[in-house]
Amino acid sequence: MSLVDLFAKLKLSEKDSEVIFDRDEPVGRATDLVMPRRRWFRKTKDRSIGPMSPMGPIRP
Amino acid sequence: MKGLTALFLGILGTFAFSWVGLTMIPNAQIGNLEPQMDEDGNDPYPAPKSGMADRGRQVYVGNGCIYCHSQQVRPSYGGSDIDRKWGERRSAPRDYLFERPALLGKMRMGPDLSNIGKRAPVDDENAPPPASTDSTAAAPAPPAPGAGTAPPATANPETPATASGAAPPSPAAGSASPAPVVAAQTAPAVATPSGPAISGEPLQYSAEWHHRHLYDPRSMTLDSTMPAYRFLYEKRKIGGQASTDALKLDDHKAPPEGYEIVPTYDAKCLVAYLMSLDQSHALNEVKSNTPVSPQAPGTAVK
Amino acid sequence: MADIPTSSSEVTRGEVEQVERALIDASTRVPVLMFYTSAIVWLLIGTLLAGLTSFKMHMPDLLSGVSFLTWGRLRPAHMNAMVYGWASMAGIGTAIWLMARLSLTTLRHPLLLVAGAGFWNLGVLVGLVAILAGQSTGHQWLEFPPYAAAILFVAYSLVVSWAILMFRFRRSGHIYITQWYLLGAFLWFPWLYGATQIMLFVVPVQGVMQAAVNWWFANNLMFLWFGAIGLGTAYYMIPKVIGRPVYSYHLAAIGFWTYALFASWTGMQRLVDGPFPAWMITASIAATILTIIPVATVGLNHHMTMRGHFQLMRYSPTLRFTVFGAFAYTVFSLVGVIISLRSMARYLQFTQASVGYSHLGLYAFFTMIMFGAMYYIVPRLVGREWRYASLIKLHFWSSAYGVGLMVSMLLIGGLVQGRDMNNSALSFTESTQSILPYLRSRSLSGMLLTVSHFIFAFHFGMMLFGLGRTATVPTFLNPHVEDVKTTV
Repeated sequence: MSLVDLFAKLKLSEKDSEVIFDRDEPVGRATDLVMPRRRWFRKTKDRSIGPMSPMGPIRP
Repeated sequence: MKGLTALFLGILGTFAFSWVGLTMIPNAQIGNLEPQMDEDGNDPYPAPKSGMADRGRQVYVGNGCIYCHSQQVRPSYGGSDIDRKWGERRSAPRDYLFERPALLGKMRMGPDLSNIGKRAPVDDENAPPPASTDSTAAAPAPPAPGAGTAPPATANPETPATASGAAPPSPAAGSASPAPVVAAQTAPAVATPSGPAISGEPLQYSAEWHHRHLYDPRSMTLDSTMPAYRFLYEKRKIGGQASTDALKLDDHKAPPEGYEIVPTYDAKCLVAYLMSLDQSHALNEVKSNTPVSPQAPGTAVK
Repeated sequence: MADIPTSSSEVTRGEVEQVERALIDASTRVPVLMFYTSAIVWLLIGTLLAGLTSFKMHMPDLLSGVSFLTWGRLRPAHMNAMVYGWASMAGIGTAIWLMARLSLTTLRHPLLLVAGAGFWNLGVLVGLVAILAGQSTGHQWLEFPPYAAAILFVAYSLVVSWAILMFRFRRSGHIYITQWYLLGAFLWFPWLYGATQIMLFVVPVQGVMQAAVNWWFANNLMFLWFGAIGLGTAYYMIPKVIGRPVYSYHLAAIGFWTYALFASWTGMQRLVDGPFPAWMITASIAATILTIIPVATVGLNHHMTMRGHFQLMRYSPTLRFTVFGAFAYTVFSLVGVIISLRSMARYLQFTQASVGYSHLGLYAFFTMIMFGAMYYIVPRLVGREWRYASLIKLHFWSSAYGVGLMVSMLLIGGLVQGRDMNNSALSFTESTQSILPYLRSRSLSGMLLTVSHFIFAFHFGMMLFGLGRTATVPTFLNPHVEDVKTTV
């Protein structure tokens, strides 16, 4: 691995800075202030992710 | 995953750099020292501590003395340690050869102790040489009123004689007022510029002084904030004759009639350790800042 | 995260690939809460020990004469309870949650972590009892006897095995900057701790090298263990809470590598003019100055990320604590540079200033960031929100003022103490006398911190017992009507 390659690998792409955001907590939405209206560990009808609700109620 | 390898190597590499640089290389440099000897192979310095002093070091460590007292003398460009007569020269790596752990310390709520066994705060060159009392006795001499010079409680006869200083460690404000070092039998009626010195009190840094100081620091140093180590002493009934070790305490601290306060073995060991603290021996690699006063006969002096 | 599935085969893949954040959070519940609960218990114990230690410095006859309460044993007991009990466990708990989230996979093998927490608690308990019984090793920040350290090592191997497994099974191809720091911390710690134990106890180095190894360890623990976890946490929390990505990822990378390179060389800064080869001291002083580079990059990054959004600190507890901590990190580094310079070290070296410096790092920086992380994470574990905004505010202000007062008293007092100590015209006890008023103020600040910690522990206890708020709106500190109304 040449030095140039090493530096290239050290310098990660900017895409990595958005890794912590996801569909439910996307870029631009503040968390910890205004939370999605949903119960924490129970899948409720509030979820509007489409026809599939992947799992049933989850016991904490 | 490729980026991960680089990350791993970088993380381990930067740390290895510091580990090698700050511990391994210095260890190669100063981690395998030998005691210094003169041309005939005599007078090794330093020497390992005797049994009692060694145990005393453990007592020192276990009770956290290191959190208030240092044992390193800085050079005069680094601080006023030498001005305060805490040592005649700066400390060097060789001084700590046999110390485990090396108790350099990092805090001074109390004074530095590097040379407390040796302490001879003499400014006057005309003062009589310190009384040489080489002794292999481990227990301090029975304290007699007025003359409390105890022989050093170390079994190593090669270290220079220790003498208890009669003056407080710091010189008087302004002019130097030398306090003559008192020979063993004279009563210490010295006027001290600061701190109390009552006739009949033990000489500062003598064994008796240490015991009294550990038992009740503020009886020996008025404004001390050192905690009392009373648990290193026990109160017991006087059986027949009073013990020679018994502490002579002031009236309001003295035990009730028929009882005496004696040091435990740990206390004796601790004091033995304190009396053994002496870095005054000259080292070839360190230039002394002040002329070294005459040592006990037989000791090579630079 | 997978997109909305549109066909049956994609649904299957979606089911497999789509990992609910709540699922991840739920899977981390037991291990993280175990570490957090343990950490907070040690925080309370350490705080009580701290109070005793502080008061005894200016009231030496307080509870004196009892062997296991003598000041020289209480002080290391306090330090170790805080370093290994509170700080390390809070850090590990936070790291577990962060790693699970960033791996985008549920936590597997929780038993490894549960056992790890148990052993860690045991190690700390055994170590503290040993210190109070007079068995301290005499090495600062390493006073636990080797048998207690061995228990900590067992605990740590369990935790790090888990971390390796999690990392292997992670879903994302990208590695977020927080993971760099956490990976660093978890690789550096065992090497640091293990090497030090060997060099001090197993194959002991000679004489002053012990002190060199001791301070190499202590500084590296601060920077490479606590510093790395703290910085990694801040890099997650600040962007996450505001909802904006880190300003410059390249800057973050530069900050990480310069940090790794320089911070690990600062160990000898506390031993200026000691009995060591001069080059070691000089190297450490130089490294301390060079750490300004990573500090500046991190500070700049956080500042630019938050620019225009600082007012959100009014509402988010996490943001408040985290930003306080990030700012304290900058101050901590600058103070470190100042006290290392030879001209200043002459005055500050053997004074209480170094205690102030340590607290700046361990409390104002690390602990405050941990508090912020806990305020974010705990509701996501117990499924409830924090009940009383007023208690959170009280916690923040008593901690902020408490540590601010403490650090300033110790730094200024240290200067006064050092000035008198270096004036050989004054008797030595004058220097001790001159710092006493500052120590009394420090005890006052300690009382503030005690109040703060007990409030937090009480609030946390409520969460633990399911007594938090079940409202779907989070607990924010100064509610705006508009914010409450918004449904998302």
